[in-house]
Amino acid sequence: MYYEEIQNSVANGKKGKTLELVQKSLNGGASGLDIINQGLIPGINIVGDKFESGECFVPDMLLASYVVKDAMKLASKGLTEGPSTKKATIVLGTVKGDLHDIGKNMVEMILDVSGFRVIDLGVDVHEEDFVKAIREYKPNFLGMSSLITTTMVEMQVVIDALKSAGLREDLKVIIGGAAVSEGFAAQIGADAYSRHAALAARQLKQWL
Amino acid sequence: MLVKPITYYTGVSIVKSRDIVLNALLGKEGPIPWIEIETRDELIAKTFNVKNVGWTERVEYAKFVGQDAVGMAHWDRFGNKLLEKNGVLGFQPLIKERGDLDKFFNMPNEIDEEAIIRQVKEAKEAIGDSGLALFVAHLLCLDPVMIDLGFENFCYKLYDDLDLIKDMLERYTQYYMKITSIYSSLPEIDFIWVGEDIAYNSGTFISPKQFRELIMPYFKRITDKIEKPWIYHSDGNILPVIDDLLGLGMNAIHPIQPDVMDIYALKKTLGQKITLVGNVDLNLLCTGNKDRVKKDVRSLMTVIGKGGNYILSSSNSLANYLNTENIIAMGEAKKNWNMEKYSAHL
Repeated sequence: MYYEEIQNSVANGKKGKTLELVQKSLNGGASGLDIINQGLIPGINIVGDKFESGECFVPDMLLASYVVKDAMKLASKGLTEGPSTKKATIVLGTVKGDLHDIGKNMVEMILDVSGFRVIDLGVDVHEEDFVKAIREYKPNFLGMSSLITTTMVEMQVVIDALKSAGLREDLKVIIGGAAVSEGFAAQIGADAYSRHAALAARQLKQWL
Repeated sequence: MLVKPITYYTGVSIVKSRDIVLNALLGKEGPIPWIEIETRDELIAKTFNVKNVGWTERVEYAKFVGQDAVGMAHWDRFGNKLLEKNGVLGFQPLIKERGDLDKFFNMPNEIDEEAIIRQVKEAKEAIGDSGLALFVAHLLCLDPVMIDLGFENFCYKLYDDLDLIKDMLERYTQYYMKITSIYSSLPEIDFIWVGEDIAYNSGTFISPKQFRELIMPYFKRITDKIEKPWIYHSDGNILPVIDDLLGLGMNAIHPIQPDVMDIYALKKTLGQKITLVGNVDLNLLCTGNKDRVKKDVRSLMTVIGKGGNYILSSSNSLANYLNTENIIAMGEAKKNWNMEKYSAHL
């Protein structure tokens, strides 16, 4: 099968080549699940590692995510149960009063193509909406984003609301955004802070 | 252009803000000024408990807190819709594909130079004999293109339709070349402050190679038109491209974002080549206490100000959500330090 070639073409952002290799692999009898788990996801991980080491930049990560998203649709044809490809569920949102979403959107894309089910609540999400989503989707993780100092305090509000609702214990909380830090995560009782999307995906995988 | 203060019998020297700002931009050692790229009108309104803020209120605010300059801004972007919620600004990009340029991109064919001159004269009148410096802040070209396309779409277009990006960069370059030429010709304008974010906390938005090859030539065309002392602003970690940026010939860089760039380390490497402007942490000004603010200000003025080449500023701009008492504390610390070190009353 062409798993290594798929990894490399994803890492290089080659959409046409990736789709061609995925189709060849399917034609050769490879399962969609194996193509995803041994070709596409490792390819996105290569980009994540390169981003972490400074060899790749945000446009490269976005492009690779874009390529993988389309390739996953092709590879998933014929898979009978979509959710079985998903490792875990995460609810994501930018907190109340904050309209910024670039980082959150990148996290969503990378987690989606890395095999997570992502429920994106959008921006300006109030604590009651986070609580409602946790109750409804029963996710493994909650991710919150905040770009500015005045809105980052809402993360504490959300965590307190989850505690009051009896939902905090069964959930890992990860935060990110320009305003926050590891120290702030510890201060508000979050489980982790992530500097960028690739690290967030890595943290979630470590928790699984 | 050295400051020649007037010395009164008390031994206290009265210095004009404009002079010390220009001295600091030119690297001369002396009293340290405080300037901000933007002070939000909502903050001024909140501080003075007024509804409307014009040039009179902006000048009074600067004098009240102890800033040494007031400015106007051209954050002109023509292909997006401005959103605002709870004082937080957001942008809805309108340019998805090339065809949207004709529909949604509304850059004017001509710049209203007379309107600019009127506004500058109005600001100068409000300044009166207060001695405050007057500046204009403006973008270059990468920021507005990214805002108009949306960052995600911009990244995809780097690979799918680079010509669209180049087309938009060229339009904004032509526009801001004209803007900066107009302001450079006005004697009332003391300095120019270029505000163009190019980096996240972790590094540049695009690779340094792409930045150097694609973006820098446009930046150079605009900044070559600047004929005043000027400051370059970018948030985030700009160290990967700092040598390229220094080639543009600015007098100063701002804000040296405190959580990702070490101003104390930069003082050792760049401190005598260029003026550093910054870097009182915005988080501190928002949620910290007055004593800590004063301590940080004193540390910056003492260490970074040694030998000159330093101007006090926040780590971004004075946003509407900042703590008024902390801003006043910043001004008090600056005033006391200048009095102790230079017997300079500002």
